[in-house]
Amino acid sequence: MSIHPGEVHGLLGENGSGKSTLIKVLAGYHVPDAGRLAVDGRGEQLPPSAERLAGMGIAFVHQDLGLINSLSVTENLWMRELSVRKGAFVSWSREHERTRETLARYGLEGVHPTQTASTLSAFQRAMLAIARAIEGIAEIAGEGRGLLVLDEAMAFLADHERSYLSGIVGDLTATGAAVLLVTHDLDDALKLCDRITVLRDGEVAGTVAAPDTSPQELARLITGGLARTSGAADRRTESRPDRVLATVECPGVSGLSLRIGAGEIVGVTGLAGEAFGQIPYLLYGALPAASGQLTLDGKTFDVRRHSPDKSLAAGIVLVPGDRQRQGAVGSLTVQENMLLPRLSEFMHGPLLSRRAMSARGTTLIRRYDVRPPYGGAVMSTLSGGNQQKAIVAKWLQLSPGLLLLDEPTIGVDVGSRVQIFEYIRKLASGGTAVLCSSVDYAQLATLCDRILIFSRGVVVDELVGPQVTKDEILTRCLLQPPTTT
Amino acid sequence: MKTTLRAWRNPTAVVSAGGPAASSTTRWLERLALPIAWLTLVIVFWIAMPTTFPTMGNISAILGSQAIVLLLSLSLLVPLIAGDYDLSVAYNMGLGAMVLSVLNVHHHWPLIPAMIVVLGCGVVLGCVNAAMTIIFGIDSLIVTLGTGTFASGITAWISGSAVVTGVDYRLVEVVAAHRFLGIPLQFWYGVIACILLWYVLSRTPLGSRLLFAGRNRTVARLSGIRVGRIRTGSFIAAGLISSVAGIVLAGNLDGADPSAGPTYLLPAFAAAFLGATTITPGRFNPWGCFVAIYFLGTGIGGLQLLGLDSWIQPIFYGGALVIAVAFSQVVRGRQALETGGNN
Repeated sequence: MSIHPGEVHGLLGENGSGKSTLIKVLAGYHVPDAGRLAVDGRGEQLPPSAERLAGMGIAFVHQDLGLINSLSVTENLWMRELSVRKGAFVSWSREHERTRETLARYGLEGVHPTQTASTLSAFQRAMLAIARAIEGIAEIAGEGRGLLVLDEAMAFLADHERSYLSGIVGDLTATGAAVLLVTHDLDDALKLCDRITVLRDGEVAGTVAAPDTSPQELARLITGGLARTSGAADRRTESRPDRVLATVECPGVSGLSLRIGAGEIVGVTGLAGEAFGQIPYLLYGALPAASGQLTLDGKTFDVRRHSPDKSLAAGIVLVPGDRQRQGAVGSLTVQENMLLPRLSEFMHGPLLSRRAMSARGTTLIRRYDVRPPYGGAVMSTLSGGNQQKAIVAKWLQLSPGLLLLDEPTIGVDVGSRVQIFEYIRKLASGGTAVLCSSVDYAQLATLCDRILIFSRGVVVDELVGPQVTKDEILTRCLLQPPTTT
Repeated sequence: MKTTLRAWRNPTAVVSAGGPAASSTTRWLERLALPIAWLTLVIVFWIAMPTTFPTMGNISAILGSQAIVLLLSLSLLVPLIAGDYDLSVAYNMGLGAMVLSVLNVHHHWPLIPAMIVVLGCGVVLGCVNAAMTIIFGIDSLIVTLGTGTFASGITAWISGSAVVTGVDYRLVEVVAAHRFLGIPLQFWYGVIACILLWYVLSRTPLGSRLLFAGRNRTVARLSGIRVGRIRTGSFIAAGLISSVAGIVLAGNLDGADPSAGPTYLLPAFAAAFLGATTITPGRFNPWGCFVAIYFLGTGIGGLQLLGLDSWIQPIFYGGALVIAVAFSQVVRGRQALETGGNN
């Protein structure tokens, strides 16, 4: 692919299509197997060093922005420059003055240079990071060269904030510098870009001029056009009595309201960067919600006052997405990890009965096919799939009324994945309501009876029964009707 | 079934040995390395000093003199398992001994009410430590260094920086003078504390919750454990046990010395870490602590008997702490390496 001077070039593709890998190669983070980079007609070495990137005038703004929360706006803005500048004395009053002038040019008049970055709004943070990147390449950009890479940097911005950003981007390209915009959002891509390159399965699926294309055309390029139907075989569509009613509100999730029937498996999804992944944690009480209510079997709980221990007592269970940090303690044994939530059942008089614990451990290991079939094995020595099966066993043994899942099969081999789906379905067939958040559309298509599609904080679409296929989910995610926030 | 049970009790060894099929000899050797080293030490000293070392007097002196370090080390163990450091226990012990002595000697309080006040001091200190670390999210190392130093200031203040002697002789009797099986009662207090702690830590759900809260607070919280409550309890337990150590200290010194407490801090840490390399390797455990203390105590006692000066004490304790931590780091590093290879 090539990027022309003064151009805004879009880079699109579904999760795992290779966008991030490409950007990381360009940033010098990954070493490519093969490839060539030429800037202004001159061949450059891959991976480039940080100095070389600065010399070429290439600057990045990644999704996490790279701001240091505890430092002031001034320090964040001139971080790079301050660290390489010669001389023994920094005049902070002069730096703050310079910061104020710079901020004004980016519409951040309300921000004080001595404020810490943690006190800024999402928009102010994004603008600060973008200002820093543009200032870093300003000299070179002035000569009609340079490249600003915006890697999902706009994911959390509201519409009017996005249009302000497009003005900044326009000013930059007017000088002759180019912008590479990596995004999931078709509307953004069409509004801001001159040309758009679509990646699919690690290859360029096509490059189109933005004025000549439509969202439908882009979606076709991203999905590959063919409607690949996936295992949506015996989807249960008959109506079921509602078992769970929930409403939640927090930053990133505005006014969510959902109903799950007894034995129903509901998926929540959207494009990467959306906040739907928080929903299971909010309902479990592991993340603070601004407001919300959860009704399970007619009993109503205030989500704000919820906590994991209260949820467990109420029959609500969460299988978290991050195995290493949230799911299990790697340095302890499989059996210890599995039995943790129901330890008090093994009290035999004043003592924990080791025999009863060991028997239960063996039963669970057999029932959930954890390998090696050995309760004393240290968790971290198991493969990802077996660790996940042990974690699923830990929670499913409680026979919950509501099962919350976040990315239940991330980093899990195909065989274990099929088994985990089986365990979840079997639990659901006993009447458990299941809610699963995931960005893995194939997983949702296989597992779920109903899918809620989430965009900019609200549910915008719903797929039921035979509509639940991987491609339909992806297409609906990409083509969400514009929302007014 | 039998193998499952055995391996569950001894998880780290399974890792090092690479799975269920690995030889149980390696596992037992790793578990029992320190007790064997202790036994070897005893035999060496026995042969080197056949007339002075194996006397009842010497043995009961070694066993009795280590009771304070043992209690202090056990008090450290609880917050260590819950993932927090508590440096204030040694200062609290010094404060406890002083409060008891001042109340009993200067203010003529009877022993029992004075002891209750001492235990109360430990609870208050534990609550302060917990509040600062949990509510304000400050590193426990910093908090307890501060509160400990504060406690040492109070100790100096209430005593006028002077040694207080002449507590009720009944305290000296029940701590150091009276014997059971020829060994001072304070040794048996240490043994009782070990049994109680072992019971709570490995035979009740509370022990497992403490362990999970210490290893990974997020996993623990998502598993319905109230991590804040568990950590608060662990600081209060540390305060209470170190107050008991303070009472035993007062019985040993027939009073209190304002500078006595802090000197026990390093030996207690050394024993806790060295103890984590034995019995159930990779985990802080009371019996490991017990073995570590008597291994170190025997070494120091024997060498002093051989004519070495008291400088051997810091060399032994300091060396043991560093070697123990290095050893547990090696075990942990090996564990991480195998994880990487498997995923």
